[in-house]
Parts: sequence; C-alpha cells; structure tokens
Amino acid sequence: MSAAEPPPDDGHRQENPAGSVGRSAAADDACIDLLSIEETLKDGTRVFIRPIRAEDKVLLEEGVRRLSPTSRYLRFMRYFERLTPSELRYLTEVDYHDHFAWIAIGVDVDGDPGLGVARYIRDTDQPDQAEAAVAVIDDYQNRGLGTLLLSKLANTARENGIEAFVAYVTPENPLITRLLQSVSATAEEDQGLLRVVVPIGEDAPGPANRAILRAAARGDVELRSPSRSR
Amino acid sequence: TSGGHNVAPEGIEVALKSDRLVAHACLVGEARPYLTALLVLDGEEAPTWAESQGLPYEDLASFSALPRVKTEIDRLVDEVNSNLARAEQVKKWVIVEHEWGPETGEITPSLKVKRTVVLQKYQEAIDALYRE
Repeated sequence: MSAAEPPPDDGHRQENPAGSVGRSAAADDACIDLLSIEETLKDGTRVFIRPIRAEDKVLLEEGVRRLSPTSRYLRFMRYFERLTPSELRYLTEVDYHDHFAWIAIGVDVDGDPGLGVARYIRDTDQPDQAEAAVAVIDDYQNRGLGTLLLSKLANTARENGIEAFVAYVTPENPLITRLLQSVSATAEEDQGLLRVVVPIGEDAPGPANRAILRAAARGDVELRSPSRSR
Repeated sequence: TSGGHNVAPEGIEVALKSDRLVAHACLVGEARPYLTALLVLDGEEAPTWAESQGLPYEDLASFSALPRVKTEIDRLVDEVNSNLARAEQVKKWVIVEHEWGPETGEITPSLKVKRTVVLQKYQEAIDALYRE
C-alpha cells in the first residue's frame, strides 16, 4: 500500500487550503479542473467526470456502500461493507501517473453522489502494463457509464505510457471465454484465475476489445496487469 | 462443507470484517468437515486498539500473537456464531501475521482479493485448523 501513501508535507500545503495531498497539490488541482468535463450518457443522464481527489474519501466511501453486495464483490472480490481509512486513502490519494482514477458524479441528483470510478495502477514489474478496475453503482449500470469511464481511462493510460490493461477472471466465466475467442486479448492460467491482457495501444482497441472492457465495467472481468500489444 | 452444507460466506465474512481490528476475513470450508476463517488484522487499527487496552505494540505479527488479542477475536467469532446455525458456525480461526498487499500477492493493486492465492499460500495454516 505504500506506493500511494501521500508524500510528506513539504510546506506547500498552506498555499493550497483547498489542498489535496502534499507536493504538487496546487498543480494537481489546476490539472483536475482542466480535465473535468460534463458528459451526457445515451439515456440523457448528465454526469460530471473528473480525476479523483484526496477530498473524495466520503464520496467514495458512500459510493462503495451504495454498491449492491454483488457489484461490490465483483469489484473487490471479497465481502465487506466499508472500506478502511487506509484503503480510502490509497484509493483517493493517487499520483495521476502510476495510479489514476476517474470519478463520475451525478449532476441531476441531490447531493452530487459518486456514480462510478475507473482506475488503473501501473504494474511495478512491467511498467507498460496496469491493472484496471471499474465500478458503477447499480442504479446507473447499463447506461454506458462504465464504458465511458474505461475509454477515458484507456486514453489517460496511453498518454502515461501504458500499453495494455490486465484482468483476472475466473475460468468458469462463460461470457469472458466467449469474448476472448474473438479478441486480440490473450489469456493465460495464473493461479486458478485467467489473466486476461487487453492491449490499449492506438491501433489496438477494436469493438471486441471494447467488449472485454465493457465486461470489466460490469464486473465480469477482474482487470489487472497487461502485456505487449500487437 | 463436506457434510453437504452449502454455506454462503458472504454474511459471515462481512460480520467478521465489521470489527475494526479485522482487515480481511477469508472463510474456508469447501470439501472440509467444518468452517474455519483466515483473519488478517488491520495494521493501522491495531496500535490504536493496543493503546486503548494498555497493551504493548511492536508490530502486527507480535500483536496478532498476544493472548489478549486472541481473546478479543474469540469474542468476535462467538458473537458472529451466535447468529448462525450450527453447520454455519466458524469452528476455528487463525490470524495471518502480516498484512495483505500487492507486494505479497494476496491482493491486486486495485485491492481485489485473490482467493486462490490466499488458499494456496496459507494452505499449511488452513490444514492445521483441520488437524485435531
């Protein structure tokens, strides 16, 4: 977990009272504002999408609590109800390079709730690969939000030198095994799981790859580190 | 379990995990005579709890081995068991002495638990729970 621990306070914090974490907080905030965008889903739902911030802990905690047990399990592969404080820090205090997360916020909903998050975390051993993970709260699934978040995530990942996302899937998952036969993704058995590699390079993402990514958005796939694209 | 009982781990793991001291709870019981649990304590909560109990805290491993901690986990497991039918009760448990993370392989960087890895890695500890 140490990878995403906040950097030590270096004194710039006071200049940035709205303050995210340490070092380049002000610069991060400026970038976040630039990257923030309002999007409209295919059913007309308006969402505000921006990089996640250290201040999003409550938003994220509430979002995770609003996931159905099944969605929560598919995202985290375990049964629990609340994230711990250290998990919340890890998931919100990101460096926007090796660990990046987009969060979608409901524009037309009271309280501006978090509706979904897509993130990647670079593989330390293979830096051109990253695990990706997506969750969308149940009421907002099947509206294209997961796909939108993933597509933004793939763009960001590419800009940061990542060439593929990786997913871990149970081999019994029929949807995935079917999809895999039609995609440039590769899969290999890894300790009882299928390790699925989805290239995200410029020429890579065809419709089938997007289908894999969508399956990931629904939680059918567990995304993890990638391999070289073709 | 091998006794033919189909037990959903969900509620039990959620209940065990609801204790602040518990970071992870992994229920074991498939093709086994009874249910057991692998527990990982929360390295951040543990020092706070130790202080509140007037206990020393050096590291998670030595903390996990304290008799007072074992009593506390016993209390938690008993409490969880009291809401469960006999066949669903957690008969034994063991605390895994280090935290789970991407570096040690039990969890992916996005915080997904790799149950297969957990079961393989701690097979010895699990087997010990089924030895007399």
